[in-house]
Amino acid sequence: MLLVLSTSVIATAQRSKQSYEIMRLIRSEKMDLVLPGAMRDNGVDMWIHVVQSGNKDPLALDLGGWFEYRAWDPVGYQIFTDRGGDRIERILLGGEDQEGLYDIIGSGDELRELVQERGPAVIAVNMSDTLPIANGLAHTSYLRLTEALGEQYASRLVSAERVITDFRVRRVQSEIVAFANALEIQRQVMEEALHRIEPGATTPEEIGWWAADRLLEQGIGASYEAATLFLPYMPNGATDGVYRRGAFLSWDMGIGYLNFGTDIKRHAYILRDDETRIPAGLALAWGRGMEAREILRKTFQVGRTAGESLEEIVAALEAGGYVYTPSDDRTSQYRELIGTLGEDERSGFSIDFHATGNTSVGDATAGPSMAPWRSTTADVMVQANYIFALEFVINTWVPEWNRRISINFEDNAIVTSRGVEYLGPIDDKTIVIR
Amino acid sequence: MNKVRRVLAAACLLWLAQPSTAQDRARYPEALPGISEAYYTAFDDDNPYATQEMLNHIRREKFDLILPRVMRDAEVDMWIHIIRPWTFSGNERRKLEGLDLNYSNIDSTDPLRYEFGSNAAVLVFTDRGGGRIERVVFEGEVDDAGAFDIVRGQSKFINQENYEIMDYVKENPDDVPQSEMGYRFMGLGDFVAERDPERIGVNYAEKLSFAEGSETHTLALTDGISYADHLHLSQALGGTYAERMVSAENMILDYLTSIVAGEIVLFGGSGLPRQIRTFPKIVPGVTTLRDVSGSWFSTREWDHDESAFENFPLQQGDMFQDGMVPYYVLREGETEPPLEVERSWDEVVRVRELIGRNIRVGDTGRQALARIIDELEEAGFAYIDRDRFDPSLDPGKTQVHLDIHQVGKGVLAPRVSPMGARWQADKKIPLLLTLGIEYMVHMPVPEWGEGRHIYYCSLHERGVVTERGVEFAAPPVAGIQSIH
Repeated sequence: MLLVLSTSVIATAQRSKQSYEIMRLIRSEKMDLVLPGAMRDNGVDMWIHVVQSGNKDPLALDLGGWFEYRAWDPVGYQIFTDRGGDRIERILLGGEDQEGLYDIIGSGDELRELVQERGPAVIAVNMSDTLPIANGLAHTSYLRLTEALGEQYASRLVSAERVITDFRVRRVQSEIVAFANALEIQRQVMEEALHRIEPGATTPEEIGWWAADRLLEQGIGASYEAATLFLPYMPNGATDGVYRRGAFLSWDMGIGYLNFGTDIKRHAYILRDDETRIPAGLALAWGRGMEAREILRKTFQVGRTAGESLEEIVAALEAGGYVYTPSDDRTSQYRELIGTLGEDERSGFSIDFHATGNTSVGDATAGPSMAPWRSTTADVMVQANYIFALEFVINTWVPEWNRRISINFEDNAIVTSRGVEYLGPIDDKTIVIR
Repeated sequence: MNKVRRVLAAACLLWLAQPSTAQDRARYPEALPGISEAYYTAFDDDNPYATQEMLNHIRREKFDLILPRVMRDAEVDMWIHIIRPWTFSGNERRKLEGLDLNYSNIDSTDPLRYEFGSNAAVLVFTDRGGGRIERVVFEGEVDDAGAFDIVRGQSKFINQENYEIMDYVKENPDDVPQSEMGYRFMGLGDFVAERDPERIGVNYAEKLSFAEGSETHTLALTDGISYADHLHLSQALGGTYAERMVSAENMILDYLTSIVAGEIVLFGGSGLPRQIRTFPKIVPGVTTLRDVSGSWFSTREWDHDESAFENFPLQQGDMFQDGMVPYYVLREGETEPPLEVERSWDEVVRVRELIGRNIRVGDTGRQALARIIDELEEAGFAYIDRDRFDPSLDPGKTQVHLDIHQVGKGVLAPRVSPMGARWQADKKIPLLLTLGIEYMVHMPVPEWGEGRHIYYCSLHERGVVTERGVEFAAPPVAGIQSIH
């Protein structure tokens, strides 16, 4: 035989494999470490997650399994049963388990027998008035489920929204790492994109599409495709379609990576010909935002409900000399309030801390959110490792511009027993474009 | 195999197998070359997320979130940390020459070189109340000046060959330090007196040896300031404050091992996939383990020395490791490894899971070790305190050796291991400790002959200790790869 030596490394689909392994690790650790507490803390001894085969379920990547459309088995069931001990039993009916996550695999026809054998007192299912990701149960599937269970067990159904919320917001470390990696990829692309602006020439579309292409090269799209219809997020602040000198730019963007979605902002200012630095008024407004963020950081803690947290935050900022000018996200309330403040030297503020971390944002995802218009989660507790958008608006009178300007700040963070921790570099300075 | 030899062999082989730093630089232009090898995990590929901005961010997070607590716990209200100039090697910098580096601490051997972003400085941290620590670069240069409240810069006398020092000496003949190194501390006495600390932590070691316990890819860490610097510092502080100096060694260890979320992101998120290799040109009976840059055999050993077969040709039915990934060379007709080989991997996973369940926040390394040994024996394993197969033990029991330790900062404490210095095992396990899950499994295969066994060594799976036990910041090795 011919002797041929090779010491070269041949990478074979390494990135895709790594992505799969990250997701498999997360699924496995969440089921091992998070699921028992998520069920027990909510008084649930069986969680049936009903999936209509052929349709993508909001928790498809969280719970694994594969549900190809089958005319003979059109509904799939992921059944989690607390049978004591450290572990929750996992059953998958009507689909396939390709990674060995489930203990029992079977047909949907076996549902009734399996439930009767286990005799649960409380059965949580994915139906919810308030939480979209916990509301994947179609009416047809509901009918099929209740018929299969029979009256005795159908009467024990409750919403799984609390179980799903705790399952989602109690993050394992590998989720935090994956989410933060997405943030860092996004930060690098956004900041580089803003530095590419040529005053008087570059359009929002050019920046938006350029950034989208850079992300796409890494297999990354928008976090909330339904909202953008694949149009790119673009920085605002252009005049007549072009970024001009003296413009203050704000760019809100979310990207989707694996099962994770981000939601952050970056800001830039284009110097006028006679300027060497950011105008004093803008610098003052920015500084007020930075000071407010420090107050927010020190105030927001684990162990309070969303409603309590909002009250604490408002009180802390007011004690720091800020005026509460809450937006209601619908009407002209915010504009009217800052109009009332007029030339007042104090800064006004509005708060929109909201859940994020997974694809889709704000009201659509799970977790406590703190904004006047997000009251449905007011009684949800803030838990350790909660990933959220630290979003707030500060409005400040800028004399040289003869108006109040509002700056909307937003970074993603987690809250731990030490308080708010940022997972990567934050939006702490205005990018200066010369 | 001797642990040091094994670690060095793995490090060298991994280094050889990696793309060059220049290639990484082209691929990840914002990443800091060399940083992972030197710091956030030894034996790691370069990390595309380890950017200057990320390290600066972590530095500030630690100043905000960790520094006040560790100083309070150590009951010091001032911390003086001295990194002596001209002690870095220049080797790393030379290796990375031409890459337009914008950070200076790559070469330093100070355990806190990245935490403070410097390879030469006199740093003073003072608890002046209000939950925040004042951060001052009294003398020297730092990469991230914005992280500090005051940066006084390098002493203008630091270069002994300039005219300023000649002028100074001429004008102040009675106020010239005995050694030129003393110029770094000029004015420090007044600075400290103004803050009037009761206890001053200084980076000298009394009991701990970071040098002995360091596991960086590049250089051993120092134990702190020199005797000469201690003299200079004492003189600069004057009798009252010099008497208030205490060793900061435990506080430094606390600071290093108190991990913020951003550090876990770097620890777990190297982003580069663990390289699964293919070996299309292995010729059984001809190609040696060394030829393919493999680390060690899993199925061959001589006198308990897995390295003895480095130059032995690979045969069908052999299993070997490349770093942490095990590879099995299929025999003619085999489509997957035989049952005993598959079973050895099941044993590895059982051990990994058992370890994960039995490391708890607040335990000392020694307590965790005792618990894991008990649980291993309860589960039918045989614990061995050396990484050598013991032929005298029950051939029905898989033998397990443990060396689990802090990783990512270059220090090995806390350490869950029979090896190492006593203080490493005495150190308590803090929440979110980054831990190298290092263990060795020897599964006897009596049907292959007396004493024959399958060996697997898990070097540094990236664990994080949480209130739920050990979680992995990055996916652990998934299984044995077959070579057709």
